[in-house]
Amino acid sequence: MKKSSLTLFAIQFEILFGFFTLLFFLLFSSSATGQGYPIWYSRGTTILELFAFFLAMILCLRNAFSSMIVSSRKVWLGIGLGMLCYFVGNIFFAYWELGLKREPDVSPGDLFYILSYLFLMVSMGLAVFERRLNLEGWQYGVIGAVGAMGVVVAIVLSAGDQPAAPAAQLNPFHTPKAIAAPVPVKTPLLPVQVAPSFAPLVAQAAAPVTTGVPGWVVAIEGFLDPFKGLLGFLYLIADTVLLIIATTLFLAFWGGRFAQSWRMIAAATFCLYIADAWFKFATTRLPNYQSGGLLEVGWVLSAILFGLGAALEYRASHQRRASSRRRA
Amino acid sequence: MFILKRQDVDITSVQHPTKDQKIPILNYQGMTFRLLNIFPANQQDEARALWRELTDNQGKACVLLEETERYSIWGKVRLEQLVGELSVPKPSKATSGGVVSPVFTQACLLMLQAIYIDVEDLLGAKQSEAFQRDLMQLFKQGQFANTATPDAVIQLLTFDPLNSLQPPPWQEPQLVKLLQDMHHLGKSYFGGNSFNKRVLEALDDLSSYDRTRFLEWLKQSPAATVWL
Repeated sequence: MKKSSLTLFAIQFEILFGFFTLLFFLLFSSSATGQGYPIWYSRGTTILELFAFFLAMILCLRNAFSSMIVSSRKVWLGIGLGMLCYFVGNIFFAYWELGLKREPDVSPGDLFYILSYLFLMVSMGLAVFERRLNLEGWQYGVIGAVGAMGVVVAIVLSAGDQPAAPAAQLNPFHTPKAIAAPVPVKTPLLPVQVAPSFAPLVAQAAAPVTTGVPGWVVAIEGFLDPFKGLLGFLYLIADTVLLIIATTLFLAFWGGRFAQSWRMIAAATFCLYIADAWFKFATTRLPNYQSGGLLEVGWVLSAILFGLGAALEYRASHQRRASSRRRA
Repeated sequence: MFILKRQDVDITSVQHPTKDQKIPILNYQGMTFRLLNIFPANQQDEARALWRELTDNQGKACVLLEETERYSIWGKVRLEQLVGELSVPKPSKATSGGVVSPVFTQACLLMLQAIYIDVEDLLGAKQSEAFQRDLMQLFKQGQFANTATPDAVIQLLTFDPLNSLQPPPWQEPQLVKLLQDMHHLGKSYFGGNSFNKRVLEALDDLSSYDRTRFLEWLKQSPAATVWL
């Protein structure tokens, strides 16, 4: 069958692609100099991530248009659109950071990330609520523990949030003499107000350097800046919700072939969580953070795992055990 | 219980009390067994697994007869009980409508087994156990004959409906209700009705004549709306 060999190719390709991505990050994420990352590295990670989300989108939408798929097609349509929004968001994110050389902690990409999360939450939620789960007590315990852990980490990471800087004091894109060494931070265990850790840095900053930056960019940043801390926190909470949904599904269908794809999706949401947590930490606590850190590999891996989950479910739905006890 | 070779046993047949049909009976050391299931030679593992399931897990007295060209499974019966069991019961007052052709019941069982296999295969063992429980409930409500015990239900789900002696004597309205409830059950497990197509494929096991007749009947029944 042509279809199934294509799916098998997609599965193998995603796995190899995942290894390649991991290697790329592992080998070169330490290549940062005082100037930040070399341009080829930043472009490389951007391209890997864009391609991974694009591929995931294709694989998810392919499920959405297949009449044999086991989950309902709405679920895959939603996940596919979520991947699409993430893909578009990444384009903005990359343009902001690489094209305009701005701090990427907020960018118009965030609007698309928010959309993406809404799609993912609604469609994955559907997958849970449209079928009977028959879960046991200990499984509810596991799911509860996963959720609690996710929320606690999100709160701890957000505890050190800066009060939003007024728009006039936006960080200029960093000059070569900007500090690249991370500032050691004591993570408070309780959400208490701590002194802003890079207040000195903000104080150093002169009026924002806006040469060569379009006015609308500054305007958008000014508009988004107050939401900076909140957004990072919300992403982590949304990741936690997705993680809970995916864990629920693969526990409920443990042992069935349907669980294979949800195991991948659970891993995908976990990678998303790790990368978002790291990014939240880095943009809050590390001065002039430039994206490309090792843990950001989580974004690419999550897209790869979403694609893998889609391909596995396609395979499970189309190749089945002969549904008959009688064989000729 | 026993794994036997052809030379160990005696195979005779008794006349079916109401139908012009012979029932194969296996005699071994004064015990009688009736044929439950036949597997071709290449399905030795399936035959052994089913036999083990029946004897070890369900505590049934069963014989696995190993021949070169096939494997068969036989369940212990007493002859007088067998003759009693096979006479078709009078339609009870609860159900109106005539007895349908056994082929239709076989077709329904094929579809039911297809759903069950899918649940087990895709959603795992836990869900398939829950499915069995739901099915028991369903049979109980509809007062289906020969479904009183969990074992009987498991038999319906695992034995080849086309090779067993005779499908259970269900009435037409019961079949319609079973088809509707089956679909409802499938929907709640799979969350959509993408299983329709796969389940209807199971009917390919029928002869083309029987299949056409069954589909004609299904088209005119109230269950058509959900299945076709």
